[in-house]
Amino acid sequence: MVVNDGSKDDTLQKMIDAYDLEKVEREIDPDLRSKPIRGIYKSKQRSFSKLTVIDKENGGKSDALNTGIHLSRSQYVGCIDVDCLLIPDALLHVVKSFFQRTQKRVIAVGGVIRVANSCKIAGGTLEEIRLPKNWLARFQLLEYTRSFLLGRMAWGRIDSLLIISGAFGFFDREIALEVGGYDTNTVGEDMEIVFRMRRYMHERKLPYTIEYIPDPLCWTEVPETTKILVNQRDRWARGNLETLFTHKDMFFNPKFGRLGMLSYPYWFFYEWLAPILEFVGFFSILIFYYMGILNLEFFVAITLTVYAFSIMFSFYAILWDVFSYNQYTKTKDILILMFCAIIEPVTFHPLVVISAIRGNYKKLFNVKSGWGSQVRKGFAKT
Amino acid sequence: MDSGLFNILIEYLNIVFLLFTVVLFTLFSIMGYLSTRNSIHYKNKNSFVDLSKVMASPLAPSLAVC
Repeated sequence: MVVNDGSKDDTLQKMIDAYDLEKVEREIDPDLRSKPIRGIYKSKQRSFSKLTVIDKENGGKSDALNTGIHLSRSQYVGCIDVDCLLIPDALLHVVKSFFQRTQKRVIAVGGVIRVANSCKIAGGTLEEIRLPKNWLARFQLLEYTRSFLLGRMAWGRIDSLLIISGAFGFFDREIALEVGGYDTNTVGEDMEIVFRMRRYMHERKLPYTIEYIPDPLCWTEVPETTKILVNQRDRWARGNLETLFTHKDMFFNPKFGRLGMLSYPYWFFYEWLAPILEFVGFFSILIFYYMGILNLEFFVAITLTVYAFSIMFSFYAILWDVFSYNQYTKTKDILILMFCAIIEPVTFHPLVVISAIRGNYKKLFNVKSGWGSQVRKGFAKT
Repeated sequence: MDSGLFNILIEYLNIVFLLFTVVLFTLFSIMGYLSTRNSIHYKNKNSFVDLSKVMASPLAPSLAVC
């Protein structure tokens, strides 16, 4: 299903021409609260018989996805970013994850997002995996490896995953519709819908789980310029704050079990509060030093310990990725990633912290902002 | 403020920082352990799965992609 969310260029006409589309009449669910649908198109060609194109007025990503979820007739529905590339077996892995459980209902399936910058892509297929040439993309590759392969895998192990990436997320359609679909008032819609679906199941005491697939199924292009990266991270920070605020009653609430006592506090303290503490901490250290009350020995010791630990954690993520999936086979690539791990805390990380501060500032002081610019370079063909 | 009291406060602050660091290290170590366990578990369960059987199964649910 492709939703044309009021594009102002000739995307729709190009699709009509390329896939031989014709307008069809279809009953629309009266419960669907999205921007008006201008038309639904199906292909005249048998090879594209499963393709549905929905043309609607612009309402944003969540609105477009809600339209897709409503108009779909399948038991499960997947939401994928337009700039993502799936490997041929990806959907089979997802389907297997949905129906391999018998004791619990699988309400959502998420997976690892891999970095496709500089990879060789031809005819919509990933032909050769290459390390990004751009340094910003390399840092993000390291960050994604650490976050997806270690962080989310760990939360998945204790069934407390609170986010499924919007770039590659699959949901039980019935539950997604029961909770009202994506929230159109937040920029962190991928995290928010998981919170709501979990709450829904938890409050009704229904046995459920969320599956997480570590296989490299989805490849995407990450920002290669500071401006786009800062906009993206600023948006993530706002989305995080919005979701945490909406579901604040879960904070250390034993009624929600591990979600309330572990996952939510982790997101609060580590994902939301940590950048603020880092930012405030940096200036506090300068002030303490100026005032002459900084215990320099203790400061150096603890800074070096944290720095060494962060490098060790990144090294572990890189080596675990090599051991388990072996995506980057050249020794040079692994060494470059290790070098990234060494310099990341003093180069890339401050940028992430500043972006998070900007996002929080915008949200807390009601600075009007939406998704920001979404300029994409496009996949490399050679 | 009394300088003695001030020094005690700074000492306490150092202990708080130290504890915070220890908690953070412990949490990340646990996360590393859990993710490794989960990855091994997933690989053991999925390494030799014939996905064509999944596709051919009458039990396989329908899936739409937006």
